[in-house]
Amino acid sequence: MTQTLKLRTILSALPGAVRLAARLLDPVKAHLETGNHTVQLRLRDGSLSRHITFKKGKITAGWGRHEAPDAEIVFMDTSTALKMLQPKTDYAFLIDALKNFKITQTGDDAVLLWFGQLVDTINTASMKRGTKMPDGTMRYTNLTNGGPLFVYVKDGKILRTTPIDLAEDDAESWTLEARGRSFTPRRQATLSPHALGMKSQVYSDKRILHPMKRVDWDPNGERNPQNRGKSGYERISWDEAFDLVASEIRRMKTEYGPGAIAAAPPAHHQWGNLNYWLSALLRFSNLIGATRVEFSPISWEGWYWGATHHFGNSIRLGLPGFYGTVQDCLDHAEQIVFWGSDPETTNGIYAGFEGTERRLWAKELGIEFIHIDPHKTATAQLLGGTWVPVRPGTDAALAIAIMHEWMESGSYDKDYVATRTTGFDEWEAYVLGHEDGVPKTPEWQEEETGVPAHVARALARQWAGKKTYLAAGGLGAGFGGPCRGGGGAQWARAMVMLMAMQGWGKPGINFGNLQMGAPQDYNFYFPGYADGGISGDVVNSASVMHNYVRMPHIVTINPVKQAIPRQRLADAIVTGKAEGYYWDGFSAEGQFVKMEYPRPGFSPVHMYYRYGASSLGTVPGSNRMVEAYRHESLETVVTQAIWMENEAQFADIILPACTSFERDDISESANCAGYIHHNQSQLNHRVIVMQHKAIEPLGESKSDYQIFAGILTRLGMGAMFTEGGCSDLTWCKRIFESTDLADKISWKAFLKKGYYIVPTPADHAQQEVDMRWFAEGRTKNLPEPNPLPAVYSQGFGQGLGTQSGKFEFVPGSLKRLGDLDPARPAVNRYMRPPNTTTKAGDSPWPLQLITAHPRYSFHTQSDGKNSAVNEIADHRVLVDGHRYWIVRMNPEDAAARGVADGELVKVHNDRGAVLCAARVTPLMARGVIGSWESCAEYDPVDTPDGPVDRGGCLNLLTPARTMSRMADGITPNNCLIQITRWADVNATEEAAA
Amino acid sequence: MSAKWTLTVDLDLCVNCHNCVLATKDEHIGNDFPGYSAAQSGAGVDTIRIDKHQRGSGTQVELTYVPRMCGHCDDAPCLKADTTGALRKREDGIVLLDPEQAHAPGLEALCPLGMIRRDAGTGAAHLWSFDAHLLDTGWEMPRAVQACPTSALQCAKLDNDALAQRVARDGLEVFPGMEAAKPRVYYKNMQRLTHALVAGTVLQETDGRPDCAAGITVALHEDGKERARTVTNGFGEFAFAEIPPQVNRIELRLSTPDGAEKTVPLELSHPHPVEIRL
Repeated sequence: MTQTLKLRTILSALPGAVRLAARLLDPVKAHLETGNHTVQLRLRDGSLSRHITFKKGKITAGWGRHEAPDAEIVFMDTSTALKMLQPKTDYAFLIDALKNFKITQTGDDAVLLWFGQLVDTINTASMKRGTKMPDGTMRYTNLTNGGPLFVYVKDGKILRTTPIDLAEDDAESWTLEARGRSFTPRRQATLSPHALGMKSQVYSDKRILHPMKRVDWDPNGERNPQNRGKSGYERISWDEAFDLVASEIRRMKTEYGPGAIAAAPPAHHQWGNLNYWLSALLRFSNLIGATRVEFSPISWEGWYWGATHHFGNSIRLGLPGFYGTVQDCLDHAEQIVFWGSDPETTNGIYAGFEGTERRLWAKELGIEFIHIDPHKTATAQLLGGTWVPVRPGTDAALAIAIMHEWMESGSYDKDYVATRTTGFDEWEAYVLGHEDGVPKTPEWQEEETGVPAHVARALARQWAGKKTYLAAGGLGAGFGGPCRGGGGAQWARAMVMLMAMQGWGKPGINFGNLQMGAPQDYNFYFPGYADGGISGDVVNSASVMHNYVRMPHIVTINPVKQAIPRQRLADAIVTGKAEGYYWDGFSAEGQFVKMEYPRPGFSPVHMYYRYGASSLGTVPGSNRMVEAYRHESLETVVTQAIWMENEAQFADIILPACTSFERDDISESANCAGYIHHNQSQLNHRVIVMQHKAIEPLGESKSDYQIFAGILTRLGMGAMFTEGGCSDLTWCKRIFESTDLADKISWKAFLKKGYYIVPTPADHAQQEVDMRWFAEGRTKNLPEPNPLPAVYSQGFGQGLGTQSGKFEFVPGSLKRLGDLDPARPAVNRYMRPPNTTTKAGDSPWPLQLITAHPRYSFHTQSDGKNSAVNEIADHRVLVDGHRYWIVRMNPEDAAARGVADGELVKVHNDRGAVLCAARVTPLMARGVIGSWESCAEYDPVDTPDGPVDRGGCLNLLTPARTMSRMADGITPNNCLIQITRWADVNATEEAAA
Repeated sequence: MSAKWTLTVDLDLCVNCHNCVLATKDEHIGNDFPGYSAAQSGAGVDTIRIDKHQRGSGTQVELTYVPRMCGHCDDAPCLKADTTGALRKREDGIVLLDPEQAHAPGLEALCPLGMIRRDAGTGAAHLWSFDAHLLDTGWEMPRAVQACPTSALQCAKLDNDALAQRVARDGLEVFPGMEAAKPRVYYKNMQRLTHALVAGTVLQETDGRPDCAAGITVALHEDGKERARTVTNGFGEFAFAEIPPQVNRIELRLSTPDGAEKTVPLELSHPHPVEIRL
């Protein structure tokens, strides 16, 4: 058959094929009934044209050129047309053909999208999701920020969600041998508490079920920005909502030019590779062009702005690595020092309780534990060991005193220091006091930290005498904890110096708390969320590394080169100016690049597109956001959110997104890729999950992807955004096919079962231990793309990513900075961070508040919104019908204020006041108030005492300041407050009245 | 004697994560299981609750988390007192509250431990049903046990002989005061609730400064007799975690490796942080 004849045959058969599909598949029939269009397919030279008319579900077709089709797809030549019309789309070909204009699409974008969706529906309508259970329920799978779920559905409603117990036909679990014992993990993908709260969130009465518009916001008249957060909403249709948003986007570009629209990601939305902010939102915002709202590496802070300068690892943002450390720790370590590390509370990140079992093995093996923390943590309570409470923010002083003791007694690894490090003499001169006349003794640190000198001395002695794993931060290998305070950089720097003095990388001497580095297949490719999903953004995600190459899709580029640091967004809007420093992990020096707003030639922001709603709970000093939301320069606020929570109430237009239970997505548990390469090493089993659409979207809510598609179709980019009408499910299949998973299981089987366990290779015990190569002076041999080739000073794979290639006690990068950043000197001198209490302090704010990562909720997930989690008395407390966020306080601090357990207290400073319930507990050190960040509710009420938030957003009180002039990290864990019994406040007010 | 469902709770392993509470709510909020349990409203009912118990103080303070739920007692006080007929005990040991009769007044008063709970939203009474509706369809364990990350909660269907063996092997005990009711919920490491903790730190003087005294032998004496002994760790810390409740006056006799000795009398009814200077 000639090519032309073949094409003619296909085009001839097309209408019949669609009719047949419509007869067999209801979704196809339903889709056909939604459009009355004529679509023409033709060759560019006009030698062959076929037009198909769809009318009320009926299909007619004709040959010859139709002069006025609603939409038209034009092929350069016959072979191009034939390739595109293959039953299975070859996306590498298709994207190339589109980019080279071998195929062009013209006419009404909505019709092109509709036609693409018709083809997509024909392809996907017969796909079967989930497994039918003997009792008639359907079992689906999903993935949350706290682990994967089985989702049982009956009559269109979620019946239950459970952990996934592995089946017999799933890959075998590994067995690890250590000290003559064998350990095999439980065959379950464990869940964090917030994951078990998700069903209650799906059916929360705070769900936004319809598009809405603020009643007194008139795009053609008075916009009343001052009423944001106060005025109510009226229901509008999706057509109205899409038209409104599209016309506002158009107006911004026309009236103000590039930069007028800012698009902001949430601090964690629903999990997925498709409907995630680094995926669908980036694709959308790049296509409209938007001022980026840039994160700083929140939760890496001190490691990024500090530790990285000493040892490289910039691609991990200064966090230590972890490969092989579970085996090494269980084989060789004698003790683990937990320093600001509570993995039983934070579950590492995204990891359920997978590390818990391994830590209990360490206990069985007789490994000892020390816990340095102002809170006697859940981890300390489970494992036991010595608790050393420390004043928040001053931790570096304790670490420096430990080094002082090691220097004085010579109890450190002198050979390692001599051969693997530089700058020790200069550092020693500071520590011993030769530089400034002040030896940094245990007595010196006691004034700062509150840790008795004899305890510091015992700690130094005990540490030097035993092979020690240092668990610094929640992941053990960094993250969270003291790094999120004013002293965060000093602390993280001191942590890596401690390890360098003890021979970091030698057997039994490393970073970790058994949370990361489990035996696992580190070669199996499946993307994490930072791999960019469908964003096509090869600049602002890790897409270009694997994803963009493996899954051909349209690249998207944001032409707006203006950005605002997320923490300075309120300043940017209110004062019109903001500056900060970029998050750039490609080198230690990447962080020295300044970001200024506004950028010359770009418009200030007048429209804010918010994805998710969490920043009042997650951004330090968030009280300023309220003023920003009400600022007259902000003409339009669009919020795409699932729930009416937190800052959603400040939007002008609300677009209701559905949860991950109501749309399709695909992802791997705990795999975030990007800056925590192999984050899934926290898990005992790698679990790849089909996030099934288990139920229909509630109300009129839609998947994030479909919302973006709806807006972009009004701007002529619907077909482009969806690459010819790809549904959520088709994207899942495209992602699936781009991974190593497609070699292991068929799409059909995966879609039915919903998950796949990646087998662990038999040689897992031979996994090289992190930093061992360095300790032994070998070439680096770890499965991570770090550092970049150009960062090595000694040749590829030789040495660390520092100027010398060695561990630098006094970093070359900070020396090169000169005196530009005086509070971050090259010699890591201890400086008491602002907002730290001291013994003598008689400030009006005598207590120090720390707001750690929450235990029962995850950012705003599973908090508020009538979540089952709210009922946990260590999360919220019911007082007079309202569930209040808790603050934990020491009994003596409570007694001094007459506060009883469970009573309401006003938590306040000069930034604001938050009403909380007191949880009086001996687990808090005196003078320190423990709570969580990331509350989901913001509920301001006017009282005779002034405005207070009874939602629990403690970040309203935290300082917005940076660590130092150029270290642009957040510092919420250094926050001074007072606590007053609420009944006393009211009594005073009544007396005054 | 037929086998009955039994739950064991290891108090050393409960970390207050609430997965058991949340999994149980996930199962019962909005879900009717006719013949077993009525749907719970809103954010659910606390048919499992986690209490706290404190021992010791200062840096050596210890909190124990105590999951509490219907004990599915073999000689259940609630069944004896029930005049409504709402409660029944099945052959497999599970006590159920008939959802059809769950609105009967006074049900929540029938459990001496307060573990029959009233749903404020629906007015129905609930107890932790061992998720009998799941066990009856082949599930191997209730949701609470499945979701427990540390395996602090475990269940098994045991006849009385097997139960007695398990009790002896693991040192299991029922909740204090509930012995007569013969609950099928047993606790491991119950001494965390029933016994006293005496913990402290020993300091000595080294180079004219206070210093943590490691390797000091500490013997606990009662009525002149040694009851237990331990050695201080690198921080000078020692702990005795199983002092019977009737003990009040004790003596701590310390001896250093070089033979020095010191005796410290303590009265347990006056708890205070113990810091001993040699």
